[in-house]
Amino acid sequence: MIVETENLTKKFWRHDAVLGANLSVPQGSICALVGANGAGKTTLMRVLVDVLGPDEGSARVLGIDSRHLTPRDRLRIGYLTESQKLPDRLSVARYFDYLRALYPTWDRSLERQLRERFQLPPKRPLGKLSHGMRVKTMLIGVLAFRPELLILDEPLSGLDPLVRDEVMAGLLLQADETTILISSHELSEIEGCTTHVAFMVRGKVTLQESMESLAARCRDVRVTLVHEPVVSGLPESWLNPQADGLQLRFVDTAFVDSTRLREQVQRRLGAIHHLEPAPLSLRDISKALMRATRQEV
Amino acid sequence: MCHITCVAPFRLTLTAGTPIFDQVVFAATRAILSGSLQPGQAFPSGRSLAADLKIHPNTAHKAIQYLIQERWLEARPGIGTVVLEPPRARPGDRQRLLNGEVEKLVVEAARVGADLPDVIDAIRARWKAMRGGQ
Repeated sequence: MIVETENLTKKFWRHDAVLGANLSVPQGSICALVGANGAGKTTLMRVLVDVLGPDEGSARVLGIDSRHLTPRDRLRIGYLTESQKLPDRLSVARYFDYLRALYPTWDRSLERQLRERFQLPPKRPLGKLSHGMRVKTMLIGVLAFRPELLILDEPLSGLDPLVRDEVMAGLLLQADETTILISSHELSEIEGCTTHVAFMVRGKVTLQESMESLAARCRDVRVTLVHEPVVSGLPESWLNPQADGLQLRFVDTAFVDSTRLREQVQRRLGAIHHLEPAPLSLRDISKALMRATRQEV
Repeated sequence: MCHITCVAPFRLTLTAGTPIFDQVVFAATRAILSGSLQPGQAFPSGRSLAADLKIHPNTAHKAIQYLIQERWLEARPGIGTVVLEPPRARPGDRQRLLNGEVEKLVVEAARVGADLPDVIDAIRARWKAMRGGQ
């Protein structure tokens, strides 16, 4: 595991606390960290890069305890966050000169390739860049030293669709050499490249698995029953059940196949007129999970 | 300003529930059979395919390896990957399509309540879109 946290806890008064999170990110994966605002994603990432120290538990990054990361270890980790401070007076070109000197592994040809792709104005001060250009600049800053691990906190937020595409393309051009942990609400953007998903609810990682297995076990189910259903005492794996007359709709998170689902429904709710399970996108799965955990409160 | 980027020669609209690898392979073979990718034409590298289609580079590499193995593409050292003539069907492929796959289609049509003329019209429209009425 490139990232492994154990009972990681970082408390805050109100918002975004991490309360005993166990997260594992396998090497070579693109892991999407998903959850509602305030679930603790940003704080977890900040502990991973040792911007914050944990109150309890621990985080291992590249096999090293995050509290003991040396400056040299840090050169192997790229961290991008929207709230990052940049030296605003420096021009784009000067900024890259500075980074090039900082990182022994800096790849000039990748820097050139990405700068060409992103069309950044070399002479403009960083403080005068648009939000999109700023993100592109920061992205080159974390890609060009070819880190082993990339931690990206909401890299796509506030970007227009065109810039989002460009940023994703820039990222994927070299993702095969890097493990990526990415938090984003733009789930349809990252669905195609995500290999793993970790879901956070109120400071805990409530689910983590490969995209494949998550997609395989989640189905949007619509049933037409012969008798009106009673929507209580249904299995916990059926999220957000909603009934309207003879219709029942829910998200099955333990789907195996249609035959088995039909049996389960029949056993609980009687005869079925029609049953249709449909696959769900990552975005829809996440929405269902968020809705289900919100109801618990 | 215009600068050269490699553009994926086919579209990919992700469908939930189907592995992305399968979707990419299908889109590529469709492009070759429809003639939108011509024999001898360069096929994008794994990286640029990944960047264009927003998929994981490993998935793109795997799809390209598979297409090479199935003789849709050929790796030419120093040049890259190029498109080949569509490979000949394996014995049994034709039977599998005409019996198995068509039967699945017929059953599914019955389930959703589409009748024979509907299905034939839909097949004809797809056929035209892909083969230009050949």
